[in-house]
Amino acid sequence: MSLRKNGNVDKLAAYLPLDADTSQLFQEYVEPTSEVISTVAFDYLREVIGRPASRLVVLTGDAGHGKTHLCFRLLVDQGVDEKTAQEMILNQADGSADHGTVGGGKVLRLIKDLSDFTAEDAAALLDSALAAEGRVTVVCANEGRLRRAIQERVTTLGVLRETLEDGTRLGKITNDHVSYVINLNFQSVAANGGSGIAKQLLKSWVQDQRRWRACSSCDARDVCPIYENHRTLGSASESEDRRHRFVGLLRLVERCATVVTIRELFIVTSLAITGGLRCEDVHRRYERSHRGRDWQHPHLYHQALFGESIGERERDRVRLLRGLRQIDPARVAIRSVDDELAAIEGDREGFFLPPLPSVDQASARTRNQFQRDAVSQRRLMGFLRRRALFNDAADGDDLRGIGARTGLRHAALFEAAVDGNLDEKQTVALRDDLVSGLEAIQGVRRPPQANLFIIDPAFTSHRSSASVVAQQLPASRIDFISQSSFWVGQDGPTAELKAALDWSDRSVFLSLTQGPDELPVTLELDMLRFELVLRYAEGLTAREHFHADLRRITSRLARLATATDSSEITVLVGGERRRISIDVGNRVRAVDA
Amino acid sequence: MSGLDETQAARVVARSCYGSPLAQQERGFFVCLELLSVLRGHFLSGEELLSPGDEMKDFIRVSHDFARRLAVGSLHRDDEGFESIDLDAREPLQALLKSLTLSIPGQRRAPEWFGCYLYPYVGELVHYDTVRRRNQPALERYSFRGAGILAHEILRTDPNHERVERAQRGLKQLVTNSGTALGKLARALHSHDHVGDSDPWLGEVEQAIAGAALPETKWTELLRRGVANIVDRTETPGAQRIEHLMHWVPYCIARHALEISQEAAGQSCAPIVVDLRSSSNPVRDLSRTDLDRSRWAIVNALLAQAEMIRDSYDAEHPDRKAFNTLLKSRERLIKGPRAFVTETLAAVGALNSTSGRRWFTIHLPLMETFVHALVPEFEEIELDRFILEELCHRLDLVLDGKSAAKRGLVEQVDLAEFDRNAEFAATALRSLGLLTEYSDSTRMVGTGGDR
Repeated sequence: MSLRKNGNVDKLAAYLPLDADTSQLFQEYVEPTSEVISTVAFDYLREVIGRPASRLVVLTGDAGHGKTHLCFRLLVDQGVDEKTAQEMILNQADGSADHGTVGGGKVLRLIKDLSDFTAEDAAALLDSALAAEGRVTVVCANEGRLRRAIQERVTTLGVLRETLEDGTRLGKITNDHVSYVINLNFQSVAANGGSGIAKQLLKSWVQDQRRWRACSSCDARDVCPIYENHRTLGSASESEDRRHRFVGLLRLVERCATVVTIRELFIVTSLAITGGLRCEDVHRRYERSHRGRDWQHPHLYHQALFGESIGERERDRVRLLRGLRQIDPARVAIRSVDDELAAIEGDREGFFLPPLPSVDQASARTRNQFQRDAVSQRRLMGFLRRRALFNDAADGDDLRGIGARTGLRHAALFEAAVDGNLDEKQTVALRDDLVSGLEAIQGVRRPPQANLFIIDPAFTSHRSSASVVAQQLPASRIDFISQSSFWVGQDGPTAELKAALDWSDRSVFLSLTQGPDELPVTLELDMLRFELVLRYAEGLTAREHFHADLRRITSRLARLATATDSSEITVLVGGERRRISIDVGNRVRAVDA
Repeated sequence: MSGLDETQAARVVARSCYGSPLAQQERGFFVCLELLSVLRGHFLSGEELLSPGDEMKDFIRVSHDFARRLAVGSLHRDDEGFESIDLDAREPLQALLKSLTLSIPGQRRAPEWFGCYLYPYVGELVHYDTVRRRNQPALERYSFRGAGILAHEILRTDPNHERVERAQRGLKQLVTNSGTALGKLARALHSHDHVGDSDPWLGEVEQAIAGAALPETKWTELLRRGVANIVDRTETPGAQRIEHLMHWVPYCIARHALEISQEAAGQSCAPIVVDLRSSSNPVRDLSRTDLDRSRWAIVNALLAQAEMIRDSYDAEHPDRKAFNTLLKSRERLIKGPRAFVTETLAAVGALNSTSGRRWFTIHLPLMETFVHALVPEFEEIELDRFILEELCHRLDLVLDGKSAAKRGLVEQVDLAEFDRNAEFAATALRSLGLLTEYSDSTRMVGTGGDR
């Protein structure tokens, strides 16, 4: 036997930002035959450019969503071979060349990146694309760049900004059926259902046994963390469940308002599988010591996924890693989880454990020793907690679910609310909690009630011991629905965004209706804000830290604080509710509660 | 015939310099309170707000003395109206009103009722100055000495008609009767005031300011623009718009006075260095120097003005003596305007503190006000441009390296220090929810929509 290099690992390692060579990450330079992930966006894009009236399709969103890749796929779809398509993307995708015809005999043009032009030129290009008949232009643009171009010619391009904003607000992708704006920031890599993007990627990278054949004859296999990752995620009996949780974790990140691009997904998944190592690195270590088992632990997938194997600065560069660190289970102490961790410490699963702290506390004498001990203790606990997240049997207990372990105690509830899986009793309970949370945010603490107090905004911006209740909203006028059903309710069939992309709902809308004839005031809550409101209901107060979020919620509620006909005024003093009425002759009277 | 006394002479100097005799008593939020009380007064007397024309219209004054006496607990059994509040309602009302009173930075003791002002969150709470005369409330000026009238006149004489209309519309919404529960309560309490509403009235100070030709600086333009932008927002709750006005109007008036002084003292109007960091650093030293320079500019401007006025009199004129004394013992001349400017800046959060070691900074509420005043609703501007074009070019504030280089500070301080300073501005904006970050490292400042 000998040491063998696995080509698959090299391929994965090429995605890592830690390497000087990051060319794998840009469509323009990627080998044409690399990963093909099928996305809903592509099918939809093909359909849209085939529509008779469409002239301009803008693909927007953060860098790395695969905008250029979509253009490339369009070319391949036109019958261009991959190598030529690659060249065309690099040299001809500036909106000047025709690339064959699509449905209805329209000519297809591509602009692979609006950032290649100055704002004025970009505006001119968009303008001419909108005006041209018998032509459809697909444009890739970062949102910031797109907005700048629109600013140049607001009169003609204003419609694009409207569509862009309506996309965020109402899930629209077109306002006139001529210009389309597809905002890929709404693309979910962890969509539920059969062929989510992350799921496809994991399947191709760790599940495909052919790619790992080279390893079976490698001497270092037994101590190789990469192979261990393949085994635990790809071939062991529990691996399907683990992959499922892997995707679930990504979905949590997305629901916490972090946009996850496909490029970041590639980077992080590759980091998780390879642990940031290449075969040569493993071989070198193997040759140093054939049986060493103490260096692998940061490279196991559940550690690497949270950026354990790389430095802080590198971690900061990838937004998805920052998002994952935010929900790192290593930092969450739950008694019932931690108690079980200690029990399995010594078993066979502890194959590549981090160094154990000295068991005997007496051996630490100096402060340095104590500190070292504390650090290794913390590292061990983090390791075990993260591993347990993927390994523990998932039981129904909310406190031990994935969400709770990542510090998002109400994640399961959020999911159920988004998917509309709550029964009547749960709905009422959740609504009551949200009501208490919203009241607490306005500075009111009182036992759960059937109506929501809207405090006069004069009292919400500063801490005050007394306040006036501007309105009371019966709980029956408070409703919550998922983002996509909210859009459909607002705009009916034109809310196409959900169909255009791999989709998972990322927020719930709380709609508060004042009277039967009035439009509801809506409040959008992503998972973090949802958690914030419910934690406030439980007693949290964190004004400084969440200033922006709280301010946004209170100014939304302030819209309900309108003029009132009631002659009775409810005043809250030191948490106590007093009712005052204004009598004849402006006599102020206390009304007995 | 005896001439002016020194205090009067000092007032003459300050008025001829700034258009209004800026006094320490009217510092800070009082500027905006006075402005709002005039607007509310016009609303009550049925006048159009900011109505154009040569003369300022008369306005009705409201004292709100009952609510203010109730707030500080100085209402007595034998005061009239006392019985019209139920015993059980008294305590909650007092707590309520107390939490509505304006807290004045640097104030050490709880004020008496006439020193206590209600925060004008709704139109019904707006009131005029009231003092105690022979133990009875009387409508009279104490803190409202004309700076607010100055602001009113600047807004009223705006040549841009479209903007005046926007301001009129927006301001009317803020000073009109809101009809909310709080507004109703305020109205009920108002009916028990000892001093009834005055007849439409215009005082000497008002007439003097409204009649004079007022000096224009870039700040007059900024005041008009900012006020229109602030009050014109439909997405921001009224209470917040009032908070922004309460910061923007005094800030502009103070900077207006500062600029007039700098010009009169022959100083170049170089942008002011602002330090946002929490610890001591080289930028802060520059900022402190700038503050010193600004304070000296006020002194020099006043001295020059006093000399000029004195010299315009011939040797026998009875007023000449007062100006001579003023120029010898300067304190009486310079104290008022100088304290007005620095304490106003401190009150709105443009200085770190009202006393002690001071430097220019931007506290969070002021930063929020800047965005609301400078960036129109539904628009966004890149962070770099916001700092360079809006804060530096428009407001004359130096935060980042680029604007520091422009002012020629390269040799004094490492520019990286300024860039670190600018990062703090980004952090502040982010924590206020006014910064949107896109992936292509574009960072946009704006009040955004809902997201």
